[in-house]
This record gives sequence, structure tokens and C-alpha cells, in this order.
Amino acid sequence: MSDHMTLWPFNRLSRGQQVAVVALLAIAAGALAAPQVYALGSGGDGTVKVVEINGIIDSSESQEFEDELRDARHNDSVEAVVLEIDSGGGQPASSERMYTAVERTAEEMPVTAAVDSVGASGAYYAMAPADEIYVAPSSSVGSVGVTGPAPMPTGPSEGQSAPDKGSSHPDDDRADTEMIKQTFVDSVMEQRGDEIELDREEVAHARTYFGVEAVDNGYADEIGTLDDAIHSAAEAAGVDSYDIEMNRSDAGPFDGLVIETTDDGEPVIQATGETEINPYQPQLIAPEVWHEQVGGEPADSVVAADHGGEQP
Amino acid sequence: MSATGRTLIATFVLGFVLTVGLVAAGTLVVDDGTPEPAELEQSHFEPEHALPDETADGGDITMDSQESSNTILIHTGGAAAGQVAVDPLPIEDSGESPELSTGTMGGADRGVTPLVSTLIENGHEVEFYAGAIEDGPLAQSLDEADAFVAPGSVSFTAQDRQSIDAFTDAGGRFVMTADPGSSGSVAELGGSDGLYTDAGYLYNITENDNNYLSIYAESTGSSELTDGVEEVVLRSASSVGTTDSDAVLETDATLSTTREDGEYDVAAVDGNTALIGDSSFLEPENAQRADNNVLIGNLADFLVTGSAGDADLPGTEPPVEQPPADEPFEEPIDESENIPEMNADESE
Repeated sequence: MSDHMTLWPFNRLSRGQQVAVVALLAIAAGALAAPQVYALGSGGDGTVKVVEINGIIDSSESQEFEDELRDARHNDSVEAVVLEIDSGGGQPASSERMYTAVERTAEEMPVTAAVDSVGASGAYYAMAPADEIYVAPSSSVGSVGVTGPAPMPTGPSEGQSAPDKGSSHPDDDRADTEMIKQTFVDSVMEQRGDEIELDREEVAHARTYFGVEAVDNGYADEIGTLDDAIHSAAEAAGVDSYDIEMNRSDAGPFDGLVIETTDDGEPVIQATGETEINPYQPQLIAPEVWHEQVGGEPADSVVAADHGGEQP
Repeated sequence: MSATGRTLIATFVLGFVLTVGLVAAGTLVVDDGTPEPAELEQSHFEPEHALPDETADGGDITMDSQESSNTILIHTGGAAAGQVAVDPLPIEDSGESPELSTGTMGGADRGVTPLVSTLIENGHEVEFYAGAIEDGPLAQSLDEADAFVAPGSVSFTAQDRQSIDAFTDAGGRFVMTADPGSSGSVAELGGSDGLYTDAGYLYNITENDNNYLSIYAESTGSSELTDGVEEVVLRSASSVGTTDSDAVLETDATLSTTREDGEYDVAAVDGNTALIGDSSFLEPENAQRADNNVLIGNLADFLVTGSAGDADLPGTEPPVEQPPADEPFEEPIDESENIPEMNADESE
């Protein structure tokens, strides 16, 4: 009875017709499954995901970055991550967030980094937990320190409810900057203390090193480019053939800046929008980027570059 | 509804339920849940590790001296002892705009407030001197003073330097507070006492009051200037050198120009002259850091325990006016010894 029901109206077809229907169903099912099988066969053993750190590190950069790395960890096909870096740093908290995301990812899969022209200060912070750091001979890395305005007390105002709403005491400003510095240096020593041949004091000097020097003193591991970093990450993940996933943004490291000419014919760099560096807060920014971005600020508000630098 | 219709509906329902059920069951089997985030080694972010040490703060500025009213002249014309803008430490003082990142602002007068209020509280008088244009020749102001404080950044004229030498030779106390960038003018002024400062600033990356520029200095031993001082905080220190006098404060630091680590002197006393390679410790925001208050109290004592009463200073004479041609001009040579300091002809 049930056989009769289930097969109806199939059993009313002739045998030839039954074979034809089954064949059609098989072709349809095969057509559905074929792309997955094709992808499985031709796509290699997994994916190496390339994630950028580009330009000034701020909250939107760190948010996007953490999302990308979380996706990589949750995606079973991603076997390794490569950081493609061209950044002179930025906000301390955002740099710390990225550092944490890289450390978390490196716990689960190989993470390598490749530095283009600069991977310094906050950007070096972010890449510190990577398993291997590749640099070009003239890449700038390091700058493990904090830069910002000198402690600057101001007069009181009835517009504020308390003294620290106006400006904090210089002792507090120093303690804040010191705290950011300490955790930065500690993080670098925690992640690369075995590789870096300098002691903690020398690291805290915050010097920026060129790639060749960085490979020599352990700030970086190898001279190489993104290709080397990708290959190394895939090899560490044990995948012989792999896909490369890239999500390149259009923004360059100095996006938002244009070079203009003054009346005297002097070229000046102008921000086309809001500068992303807050000169009133301690920042993890390489000196050259700080001078470039903040150098035009009033001298009494920031330690500015237009006084010939801060190296008496 | 016909039997065929019911059968078709039943077949549809059965097929739908089976498909959804299989997918649901398959999902339960395949899905391994949201992955747990990995455990991270981030103990260095915890407060007990990350928060910097605080240097002790507080304490009154007191004087031991029982001296009766002295007059202390404080030079406010130079670049030290207070800043009006936050700028990097200068390579060389400009003499016009103070440029010191020492966490305080407001200019020279405010910069020495703790010393001034201590002196006044203990019954002494303080006069400010802002330069010859505003306050007349230095010698005239010095002549009425028992002690003199000047920032090392002030560049004095040759006659002013002679006046200061004569002032200290006569027992007047003189304190120079030199900052990095003052080495040229300090050498001019302190050279006769064998005191000078090196170019460059001192710093310490590891042992400091929360900034590499804020170094700790310790007393070298027994000196009235550092009596009771264990540790002071200097935020813009220069290295002090001496030829024949005693260093009274020293620090373990690095000199910026040579990057050499070592023990550097930061204060020295030669007779009635004291040179301190920093002015930031005098400033209101820094005056009670560590033992800075003790140092300021001792400095006040040092200033009021001199004896410049009978100093004979070059340059104290008022300008000689030519007498009218028809009146004979009598030179009061004989009386000059009784009024040595204000006599018009004493210098001749």
C-alpha cells in the first residue's frame, strides 16, 4: 500500500521513462554539487588571508582590523594570516586593541607580517605578536615610545565643574604617558624579548630602525616582502597549495593629505579633512609622522616639529 | 477534495518536513558552536604591573635660619625659573622666550614663588630685577641686597659680572639656576668661581619621576645646601662642573650630547656662590616633589646667611653730571670713604 502510494505516479511510468527521470534528477543534483567539488579540488588546502594595517591607527582602523582577524579565526578554510603593514602608528588604545587581536589570532594559526615603508610605534605594537616580521632593507620599524604634548597646566574656568575637567596636573600627565609607555615596552618585550638583542632600556629609547638594522637587532626577522610573508605563513600552516584572500583598501597611508604650494613656492602638506591625530593626547606615533601631521599646530599647544625637533 | 489532491498535499508536506528536518539535524551535527577566544598572556596590562610608581609628594618648605630681615634680589629677566609656553628644551637659550618642558607655566615671577613665599614668611624682603632698562643698573639693586638669585640663562654685561663678583667677594650670597641651553652664559658668570655647565641635558630612561627628563638627584654628603636632602626631582637638569669647589648634588644619568651614562654633578657650591643645574625644582608644581621642599628651604637659608653689607660694587655710582662751567667743581675725595657705595667719584 505505502509502496504504491510513495512511488505514485512514478510506477505508472514506463521503465524507460523512469530511467530518464532518475537520470535527469542525477544531473540536476550533480550540477548543484559540482561547483563545491570543483572549488574543493582546485582551491588547495586552505586560504591565507592578508589583512592590512594602513595609515593612522584610529578606532575605525582597529575595529575593521579586529573584525577581519575574527573572521579569519572563525573561518575554517583560513589557515594563516599575513599582516601587510604601512603605518606610523596612532591612538594608543586602538594599537593595543590590534595587538590583542593579533596575539589572539597567532594563538590559533600562523601570523606573519610584512612591512612596506613604515611599521613603527603603534603599528609595531600591533604586529609585535606576529610569528615572523619581514621588512624591506629600508623599512622603518620600532619607535617603541609615546609622543604628545608636554604637561601644560592652564588657568581655571567656571565653565568646568572640577579642576581636572580643564587640564590635569602635570604629575598626572606624566604618569599617564609613563603608563602607556610601560605597557608598550612590556608588550614588545613579552612578544619579541627573545628575538630582540637590545635590553629593555635600549628598547625604551624609542629609536626607529631601518630594516637591515632591525633584522640585525631582532626587531624584525627577515628581509623580505609580502610574497615571502605569505609563503612563510602558508608553510607554517602546513598547506602546500592555498588561496590568497586580500581586502585591499584604496586609502594610502597619507590619504587625506595633499601637497600644496604657498605663495613663496614652498610645498606644504595640507590635510584635506580632519587630521586623525589628536595633538592634545599622548600618541603612539613615529616621529616623522607626528612632525608631518602635527607640525603645523600652534607651538604653545604641542611639542611641535617647527622648533627643530626635541633633541637639544 | 479528491484523493489525488490529498495525496499530493501529503506528499508535499512530508517532503518539506523531511528536508527541513534533515538540514536541521545536519546543522546540529556539523556546527561546533562559536569558537572560544584563545587565552592570552596579558598580565602586563593589569594595574599592579602597568601603573607607574609615584614619587612622594608634599611637605612644608621651612627655614632654619634665625637671620633678621635680609633683602633677596631675584633676577627675572632670563629664560629660566619659569616658562610661558610649552616647548622643547632648547639647544641654546634665546634669552627672550623661556623654552622648558617642565610642566609649569606662567613666567619667571611665578616660577620662583615657593622660594619667594618662604623668604617672606620668614621675615625677609624680596626684590625682583627685570633688567637694566626696567630697573636700572644691576649694581644699584645689588647694593641694597644681601643675596642674589639669577637664572643661568641671563647674559650679563662685563660690568654686571664685575658687580656680582664684588658682591660675592664681600660676602653676598649668589645662586645661579642653570638649565640646559645656559652653558654659555653660565661659563661667563661662574667661570671666576670655577663653575660651569656642560651643553646638553641629563636624562634617565629607567630611574625617573615618570619621564626620562625628570631625574632624581642625591646629596653628595655634608653641605648646608643639601642638609636633610635624600632625593630631589629635577625636570630640566644640566651637568654642573667645578674646578676647585664641591659638588653637592649628583645624579646617575645620561648626558644627551654624548649619550654617556654616568654620575653627573648637578649642583655645586663655591664659597658664596651656588650653581644648581636646574630651575624646575623651584616652580610651584614641582616644589614639593620628593625633597625639593627641603632643598628650597636650604636654599633660602643659604641666601640669608651671607654678609654683603659693606660690598663695594663697581657701577653703583650715579652718572657723573658735568658741573656748570662757571661754578667750581669740588671733588669730595676726603668724604668718599664715609660713603663708599654711593660716591660719584669712587670709581676713579
